[in-house]
Amino acid sequence: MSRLWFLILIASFSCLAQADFLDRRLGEISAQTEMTAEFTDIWRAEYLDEDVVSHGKLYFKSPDLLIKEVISPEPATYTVSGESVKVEQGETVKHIQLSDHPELGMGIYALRMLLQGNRKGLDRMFLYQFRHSDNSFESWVIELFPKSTYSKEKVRKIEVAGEKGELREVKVIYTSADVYITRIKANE
Amino acid sequence: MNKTKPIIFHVIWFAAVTLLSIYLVFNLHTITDIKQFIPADKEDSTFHTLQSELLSRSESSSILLNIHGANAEELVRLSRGLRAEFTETDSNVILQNGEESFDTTGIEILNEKRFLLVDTDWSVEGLKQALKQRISDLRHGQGPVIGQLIKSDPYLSVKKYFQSIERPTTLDKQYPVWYAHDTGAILRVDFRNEDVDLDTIEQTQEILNSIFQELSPPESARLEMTGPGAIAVATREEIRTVTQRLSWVVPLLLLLVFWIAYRSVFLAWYAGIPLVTGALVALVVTQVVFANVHGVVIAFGITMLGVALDYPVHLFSHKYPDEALRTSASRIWPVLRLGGFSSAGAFLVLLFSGFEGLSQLGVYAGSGLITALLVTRYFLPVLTNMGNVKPRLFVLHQNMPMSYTIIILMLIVISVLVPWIQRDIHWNDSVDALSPVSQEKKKQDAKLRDIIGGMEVSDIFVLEDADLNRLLVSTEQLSENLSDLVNEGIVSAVFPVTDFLPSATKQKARQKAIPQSQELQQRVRYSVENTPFNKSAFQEFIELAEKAKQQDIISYEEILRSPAGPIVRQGLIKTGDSWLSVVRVSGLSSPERFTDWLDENPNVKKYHINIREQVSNLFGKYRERTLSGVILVLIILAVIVFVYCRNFITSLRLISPVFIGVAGGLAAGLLVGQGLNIFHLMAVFLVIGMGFDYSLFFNHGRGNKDVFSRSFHAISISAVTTVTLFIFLALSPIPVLSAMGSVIVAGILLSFASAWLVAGLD
Repeated sequence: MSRLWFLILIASFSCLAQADFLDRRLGEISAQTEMTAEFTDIWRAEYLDEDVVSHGKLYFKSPDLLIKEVISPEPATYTVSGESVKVEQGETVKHIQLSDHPELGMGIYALRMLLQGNRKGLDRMFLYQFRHSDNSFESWVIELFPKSTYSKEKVRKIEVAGEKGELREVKVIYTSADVYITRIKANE
Repeated sequence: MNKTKPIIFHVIWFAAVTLLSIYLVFNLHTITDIKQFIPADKEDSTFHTLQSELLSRSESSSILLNIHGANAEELVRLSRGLRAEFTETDSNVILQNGEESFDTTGIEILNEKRFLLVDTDWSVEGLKQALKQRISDLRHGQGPVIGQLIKSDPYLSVKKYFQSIERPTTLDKQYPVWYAHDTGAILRVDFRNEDVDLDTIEQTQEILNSIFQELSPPESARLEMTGPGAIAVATREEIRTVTQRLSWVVPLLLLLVFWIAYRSVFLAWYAGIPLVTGALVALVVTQVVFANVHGVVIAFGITMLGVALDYPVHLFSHKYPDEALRTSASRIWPVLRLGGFSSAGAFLVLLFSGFEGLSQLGVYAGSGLITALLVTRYFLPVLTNMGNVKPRLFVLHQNMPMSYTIIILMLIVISVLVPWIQRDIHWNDSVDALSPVSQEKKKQDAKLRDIIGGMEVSDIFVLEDADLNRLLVSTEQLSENLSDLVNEGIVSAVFPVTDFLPSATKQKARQKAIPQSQELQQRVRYSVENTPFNKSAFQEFIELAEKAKQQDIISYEEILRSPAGPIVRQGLIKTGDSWLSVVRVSGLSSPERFTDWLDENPNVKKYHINIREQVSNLFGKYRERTLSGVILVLIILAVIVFVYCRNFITSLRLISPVFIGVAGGLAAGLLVGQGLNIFHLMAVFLVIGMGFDYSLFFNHGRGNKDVFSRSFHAISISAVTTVTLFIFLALSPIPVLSAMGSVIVAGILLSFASAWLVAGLD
């Protein structure tokens, strides 16, 4: 019996510690109200022999402006503001509502909420697990699991990796097993 | 007179009126559909069907909203806020602002039969091109959306299919909502139900206004509404204002006139009895004869019955002191009878006009006048003996003073000359001339519609065939021809229904073009070389293509259940044994070039319908028949008068003021308007009735100063009340009301003056 109490105690401490670590990391990430970074987008799917890759620049300004500028191989700009994404590709400009495309929206919501340090938003949309990926406690991974049924049908989980207060990678794993990875390298 | 008798007759009258009213409450079938009023010639049947279809569609109740007067960010905020808040209030109304997504319910059938719905290039080159495009899509972050779709359809055929729905716009695409730099934010309201009443539209407008205010807009920001629904509500509001004004002006005017003319306001009550009875009986008779009564007939019929108010007025003015009212009625009966029965007889001739609207109007006016006449003659004298009421008679010369005579003669000459002076604009059957909407509002409406890529309302192409496939094949051919219009920049897009429901012939041709499974497998293998796709990536696509070769083509019923259903329903109309296919265009840049192009392409022109022109033609036909009706009534009246008088000069004396009044009324219509229309002619019927009444009574008093004075008294009351009443209509901004008002005011005044003048001539 005393062993059981001990396990419950350990589990409770573990949860509290997770929450505490997440809060600390979110605080560190959101300390930057403006961020410019380089990114590499990778699309990986079972029907592809090799990854489809593109590169560009990422810009975030608190509270919710996120711009993704694809530079190569073909230029395009994605401006996320509120619920809407403006897509500019050559002469074409179109707007996409994130709420209409959970498969697209989940990754963007997660990235933006982390950059905003929006713990409440994360709680509302995801279940999550936080872990450190090495012994130094500097590298960490948050696994986010969508809560809504419709989103769950499309997205299995989102893994966000970082080091100290910086984001390094956002990996969206779809129920189809397709994977969309965004690697981020912050500009000094 | 026995004192209890009038009370009994009052009770009888109330009972009769109540019975008539009860009959009408349970049996009156009023129709407001304008297509049942306009002449329905066989050659117009297609247009009639089309018009009724187009009129009943939600398009005719839509509202366009324009928010302006603030910076772009603020306007975008207001647009989004308005949509978000409004969407929660009413699920029967769709408010679009450019943010909405496409409803994909029922898309499975389109996915299943995608290769039959759009053209597909099955060659190796075509496949390679498609794969290149898909890699580009994946590089641009579209993997999450199209990732799984690629495997079954590297062409993204369904996406291509729905691209046809997108309409070219001149919106500023920097913003996520419909926004144009010089206009502001634009929204559109559509009602899910096809039959929406004006109350619903008005309530929706009120809700929109109140939500807009709750969004705390900057002081300079404005929400303006236009579109057919908003225009209809504004017109009704204007009519309501005029009616409300008249509802207190008319009783007050009657009381004032009766107080001045008879020193009694109670007499106004008795004066109304023949009119009320006549109007009720007329409604019952029309309902019994035609099994329905058109709303237009009720509105115009009551106007035509206005002359019925003159009958009791004549009776009251001609009553001598200490004379029983029954005796007075008996004394003036020959004149009343001639006037009433001649007008009623002339109106009843409209029954044979071969045009139901006019026939109903004739029966209504004829039966109403006869009833009012008989009530005046036989019933009014038993209801009252006028007590001690004495008319305040005016002492007037029978012969008109020279100065008046000169003015009247000049007016008559002008009336005759005006049609010659305004010879270029005699008739105006244009719908615009009847529309209560200002040019400015019309331009704003057209501009907003154009910005959001709304389709042209007036210019459409219509094909008809009993066989659906043959019709769709013809539509496809027409669509190919019309693509030149787009290539030459005359229109920005063409919307044939075959973009969504291709003909069976085309679907079968597409089916035939799908390569055999082995062949397609080989082509895919060649195509994926040197691409990131692996060799087995498109196995699902190959299987689907194979299946598509065997499956049934997509049917009309199937497409209706898909997301393309609403579009197909708009473009393909079933009419009895036949089908109509409507091809629309958008972004008409130059109507002149459009007309020239059609002239150069007679094979296309034969399908073109200009709705505005067609409606104008219909109104033209309607106007021509109404004109024939007016001429017929005048001729019948002249014949009756001649038969009754058997003297050419006397007949001329009686009938000429009617002709002068009609000429004067139409001349006024020509002078103040942009040409005459059907409503001017409708108003002429009242001028004929009243003009003849004036003429008869002025002549009745010839040679007898007292009788003349009494006739003048009665006619003056009639003219003053009628002219005052119709001046309100003449000043209305609604063309229909102002047309009627101007004709009646001028016609009555000139009939009155000319009847007086003619009566004084030896």
